[in-house]
Amino acid sequence: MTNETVGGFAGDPAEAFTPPASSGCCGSTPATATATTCCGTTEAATAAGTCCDPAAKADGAGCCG
Amino acid sequence: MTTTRPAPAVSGARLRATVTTLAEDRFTGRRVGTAGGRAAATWLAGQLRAIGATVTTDEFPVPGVRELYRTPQLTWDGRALVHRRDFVEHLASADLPALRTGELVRADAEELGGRWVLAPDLGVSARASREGAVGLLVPRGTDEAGWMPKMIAGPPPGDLPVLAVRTELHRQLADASTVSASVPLRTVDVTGSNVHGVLHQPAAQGVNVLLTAHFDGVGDDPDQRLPAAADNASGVAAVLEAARLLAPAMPDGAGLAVAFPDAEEAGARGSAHHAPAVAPGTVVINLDGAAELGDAAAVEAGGPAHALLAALDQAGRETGVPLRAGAMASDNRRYAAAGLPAAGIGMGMPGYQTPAETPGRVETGTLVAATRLVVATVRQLVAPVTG
Repeated sequence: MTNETVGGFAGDPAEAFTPPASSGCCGSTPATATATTCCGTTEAATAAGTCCDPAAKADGAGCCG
Repeated sequence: MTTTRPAPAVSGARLRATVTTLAEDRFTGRRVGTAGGRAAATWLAGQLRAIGATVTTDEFPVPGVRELYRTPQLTWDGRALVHRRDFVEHLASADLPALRTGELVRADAEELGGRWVLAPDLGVSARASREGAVGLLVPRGTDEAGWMPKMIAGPPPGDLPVLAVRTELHRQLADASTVSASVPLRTVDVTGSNVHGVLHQPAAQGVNVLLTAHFDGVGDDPDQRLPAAADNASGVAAVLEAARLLAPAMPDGAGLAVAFPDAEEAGARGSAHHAPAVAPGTVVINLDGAAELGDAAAVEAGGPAHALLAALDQAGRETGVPLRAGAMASDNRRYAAAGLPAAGIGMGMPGYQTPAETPGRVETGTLVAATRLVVATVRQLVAPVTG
């Protein structure tokens, strides 16, 4: 038993300024939610006419399809 | 790395109670401009007062919200399909209040007039409108549980009724001959209401922190609840709990405020209204989703946020919360666009904008982790003031 933690950024925190567009949905989704057309990649969501691109909510528009 | 501070006294029970309350029937999914949304704002103002905040509310116009005023219907050769399971309204749809029946044809048919059109996408819209088609049926996927999430902001309405049909069903519809459908979807102009609380007065030369979490949801369907427990009752609960823990210990020279913006689901309109009024230099931490941490919390930064990211990183190490760079399309972008150092944090939204987004899907452990992360980050930020 130790006080070791595994928290914080695994890489450079500055990458948060240019995060990967990992979701085809508005809002955040778990990193593991990549299997569906709704909460999958932007490309998959776009192809299926599903949900929104990652900028949708902040831009007030942008739903696919 | 070792833990250097005692864990704050976070109450999982209180966090859960906040989520459960905001998901109750009386708040009707908290869509902006609804009685349920206004009731939620009033309830949150009371919660902020209870932890010692000076509370104000700020109303603003929200034009162009899409509103279902009855449950859409879709019948295929006499077989009734299920709204939000088999099909949903498409935001590009025109309002079709009552059922219209027509022959179903493919988009490449010679004649579209008077017919429903089975189309792969909206590319046929102009021709279909010109020829007087009844409307379009386009394919769309579902989430892992087979739901089709609800949206209230997106493309403007077009000339034709449009329904999005579950992809597999859309393929089967190629064999259909007749379709009847309605799309009771209108556009409304409403009033939003941001809720603000000041817990520790800002200092001109000090560090000022603003914690934010939008409280609105996409709203219930006419005949179905969408409780919006994860998006974003969970974030609101964690911010409220963090503020409660931080307020008594804020040093002189450090300000602490909370904002619960409305209308995030309608295009982040509440934060767009609020951001220009925030004092320059205020550090903004926005929490959108604190329901299912998974492997790591997503963090997106904007504005002059290097110090904020360093504080988040250290706080993550202290609390054991893993962080990763991840897109956070939320209110944080409005604050960053106003020149403020801002970070959006997302810790999962199970059941995202569907009837399955219930309090039972919100993990208590994630609520606690989010609260601890926010508390530890603020403590890092104000440490130079504390000395």
